[in-house]
Amino acid sequence: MVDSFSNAGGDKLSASGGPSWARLTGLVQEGFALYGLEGQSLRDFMREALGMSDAYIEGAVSTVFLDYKPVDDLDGAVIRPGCLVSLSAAMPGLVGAVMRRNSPYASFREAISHGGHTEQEEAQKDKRCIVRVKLFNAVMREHGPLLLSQGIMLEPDRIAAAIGTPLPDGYSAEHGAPGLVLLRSLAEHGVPGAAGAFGAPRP
Amino acid sequence: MDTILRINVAANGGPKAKAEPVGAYAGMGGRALTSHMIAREVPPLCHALGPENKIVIAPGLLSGTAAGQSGRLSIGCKSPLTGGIKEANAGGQAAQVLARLGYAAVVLEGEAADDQLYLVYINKDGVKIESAAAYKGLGNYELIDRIKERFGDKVACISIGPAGEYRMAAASIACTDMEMHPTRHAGRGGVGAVMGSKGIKVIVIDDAGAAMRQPKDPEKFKAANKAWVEGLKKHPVTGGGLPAYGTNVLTNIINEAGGFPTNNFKTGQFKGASKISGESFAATMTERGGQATHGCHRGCVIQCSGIYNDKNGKFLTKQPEYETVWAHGANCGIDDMDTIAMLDRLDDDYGLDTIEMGATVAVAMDAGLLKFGDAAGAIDLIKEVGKGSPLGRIIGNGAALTAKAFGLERAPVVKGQAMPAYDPRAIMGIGVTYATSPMGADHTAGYAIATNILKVGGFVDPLKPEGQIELSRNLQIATAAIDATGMCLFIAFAVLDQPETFQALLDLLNSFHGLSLTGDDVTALGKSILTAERDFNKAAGFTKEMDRLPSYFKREALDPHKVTFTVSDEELDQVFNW
Repeated sequence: MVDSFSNAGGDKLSASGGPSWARLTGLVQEGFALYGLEGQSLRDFMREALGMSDAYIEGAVSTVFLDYKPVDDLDGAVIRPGCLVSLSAAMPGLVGAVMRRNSPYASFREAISHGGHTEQEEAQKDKRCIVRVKLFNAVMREHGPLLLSQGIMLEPDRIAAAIGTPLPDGYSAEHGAPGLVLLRSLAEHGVPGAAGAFGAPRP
Repeated sequence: MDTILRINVAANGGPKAKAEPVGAYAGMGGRALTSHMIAREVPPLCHALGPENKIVIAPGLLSGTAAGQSGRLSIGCKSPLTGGIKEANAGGQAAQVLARLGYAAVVLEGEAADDQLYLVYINKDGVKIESAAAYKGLGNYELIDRIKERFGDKVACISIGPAGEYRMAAASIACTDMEMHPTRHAGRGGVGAVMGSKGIKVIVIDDAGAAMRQPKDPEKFKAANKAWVEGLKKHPVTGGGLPAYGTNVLTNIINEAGGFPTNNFKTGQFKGASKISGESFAATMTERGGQATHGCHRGCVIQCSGIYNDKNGKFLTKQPEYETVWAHGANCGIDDMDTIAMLDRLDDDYGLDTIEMGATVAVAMDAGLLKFGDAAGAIDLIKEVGKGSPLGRIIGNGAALTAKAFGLERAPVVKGQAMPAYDPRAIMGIGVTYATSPMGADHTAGYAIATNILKVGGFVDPLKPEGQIELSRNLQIATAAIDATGMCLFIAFAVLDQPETFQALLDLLNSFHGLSLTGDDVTALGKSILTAERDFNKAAGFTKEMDRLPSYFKREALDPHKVTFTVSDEELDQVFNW
């Protein structure tokens, strides 16, 4: 347990999420860290580090960015130390459709699309590395609680600003990678006391 | 919908209404009707605020029916902002109510005498017109409160605020929503200024005693509507992302792509994006007792609107749209939800286009009038517009005029109209549409629809660079056709991915009107609308040199991808070659 994050029962989360609720979703949107393997394909990272099933990846995670570049080929895009993986469901609007994987409108974003294998440097295979992750919208709502129960790594000052210190009931904190704290929700696959999961409940 | 109501505002003794058969405009609705009527009846070289211009208000072909999502209202005129033809559309109740009363269009024509303002009341028994002098200068919210006191809360209203009365080029026309708030706006191109020039403050539409429009083939229509609604509900965008988070669900994604214009299009990412994202708005709205899932009109299946309450739990505005959050947020360096919601409320109250106003405030910030991120300053600046002060008169006339007034090159406009919330350097295909749309820079001019289902101009290979020219063309054609139906453009996502949902849309049109339209007919309709619009603009003096982005988009690289707009002028000139 990290001393400054010991639980004291303050800032309790109410059934609707309580005062911490919006800020918790903020942490996940702004990004957290997990361990991945250098040289691992993006698809394998989503399976292994994020715990996503193939069906979920294909059916729900329609929009994927690696270092701000829209990705079409999850097998060609490769994890590198410090890279940023951002995941979203299908989005509205022409530009939302443009950003989807293998979109028929992909030419609209040709200048910024991820190039797959061709722009990857030789990676050191299977070496553990830090990967930054952002989850948005339905992916945040549906998958965020599972990840939080497994633990996500964040800077201590961000945790303090978001949900306060000492930690609210239902959370634990441990040392993570250097400079990061591993935050866990103790509720099974969920945020303590929250009615929905990471956002407005689906109607 | 076999009647056109023409109101001559220049008649002796005050405006006079005359109903006439739909005649040459039979079979047209929405944008098809507004654009063909403007092209046919308005001299292209006239002044937009003069007597020769007209305002055409038209429900869509399926408005007033039981078809889901059919509540879109088109408003057309010659634009005081662009100098070309304009169709702006809005949700809310007005299209459904007007269509049930049998009107294919309401047309305001002539020039108002002096500074008189009028109220038009339309119900099943006819039309009454009376002085609206008591409403002069009122914001849309107070105006609608007064209308409610007098006519009850079941009517629908189409109105202007002070900006329309001042005839500002960024003035919008408001339509009331289900709660009778004036929150749904035909925003773009200064249509509110033209309504102001006609001296009409508000049109009150009362469909008490009017029946829903009945299809020619009720059984087929019922089956088509069932398939249509099921298609919308099962799609992850129309049945999931939009109802849960609203259109602002795009903020995180466009920011992540580096195409989220920030600080007057200086960079493509905003540090405070997550604070103003759809996800954060939805959480806050729910905490405050508002609603994150809500329709803007009866019969809405998608429910992408919402209710935004202030910190005290009191209604402030509807859930701000993505474009509003971007315009008043990232583009002005503002990351505070309550400030953005207040600016949205003020825009709706004064009757202003939120995209144009956000872009204009950002131009003013870039020019040094106030600092990026100055939330209080942005609110004060919009209040100047509401007051009609000399500074407000500049701001209220849009980004191009404001940049000129303050000696700034960096005005993100095409044909005088501000660009919406997607940087055309990162997403170049949208830049093609911004440049070439007859409407000026407009994100809805070329929306997502099943290009390769319609096979407009042949199958497009999405991997070919030149695909963005063909795609922009096809999308503009398809969008024009959708705008004629009265359908909300968000149906496009379900139609894009689900051919059976596209077929359900055709079946709705065919069973209601006794037609046998195919995809080719839809394409022909879209082309005819765009051709009429392009011909009008050409006769108004537009040249191909006006189908261009400002040159600094070719010169200044956008972070984080360090890209410029590289589509050549020659390529842009190919968009309308069919």
